[in-house]
Amino acid sequence: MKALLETNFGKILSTETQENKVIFEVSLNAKHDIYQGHFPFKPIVPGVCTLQLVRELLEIHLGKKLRFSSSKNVKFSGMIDPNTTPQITVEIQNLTTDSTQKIKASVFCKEQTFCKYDGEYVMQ
Amino acid sequence: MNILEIDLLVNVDNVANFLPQQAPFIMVDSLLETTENTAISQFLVKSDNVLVNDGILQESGLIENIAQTIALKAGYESVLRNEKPQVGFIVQIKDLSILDFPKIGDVITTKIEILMNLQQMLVIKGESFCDEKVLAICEMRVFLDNPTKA
Repeated sequence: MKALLETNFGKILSTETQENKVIFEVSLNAKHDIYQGHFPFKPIVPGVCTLQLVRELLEIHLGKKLRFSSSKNVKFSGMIDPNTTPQITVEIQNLTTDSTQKIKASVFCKEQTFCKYDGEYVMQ
Repeated sequence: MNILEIDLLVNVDNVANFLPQQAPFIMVDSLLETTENTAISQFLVKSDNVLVNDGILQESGLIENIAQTIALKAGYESVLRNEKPQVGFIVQIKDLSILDFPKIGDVITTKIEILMNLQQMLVIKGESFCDEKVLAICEMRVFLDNPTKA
């Protein structure tokens, strides 16, 4: 199997780079296979896929493969139904040039936040 | 303590009956044992797993495996009471460490312990292994809810 973005889980609509921060607008594909099982009665973006999506976006931005290593805190404050929320914003902060990236990420749509976390990734 | 020893009562052939998640998003195969506050599951990493990339189960799969071990314990207990398995949502993950990633063909053993049971909210400690190696450790808060119909 491939990375989520390679299986059309979502698509990058735009990328905006600021000083040490990058902001992506991403469309979600409610027809992705994952929603046959999560859940059969209603499509909900699995929280763990949100985390993986953030890593894949960061990999694209940095042009490097990353390995997830740790997080002190991941908070999911809302569920994403890809039919009613077909587009999300992913903001990744604290980018450095180090081989270890200690980032802060938030995933939201307009006023509604779905996920916030700090994450440590190691470049491969 | 009320101890239920199960000899693979939940296995790869019937696991879908105990979970709200369905294929291709099932990240546990079997329930080896459960007590009032603990459970142990196993999971074989297959090549067609949607969270496998480059032959490796990604962090998403490891975290989901811990969450579904909780869901499987809860689902097993629901079925024993003649109820439908509840839907679990991860609300928070604390102190998550991923130390190693399993490959296709590896079998993951995952242990969870309930630290707090606040009605619909469970606080658990989860740990997964492959052979003797620790893969993932975390504390997780999961909200359990009844499945809504489409």
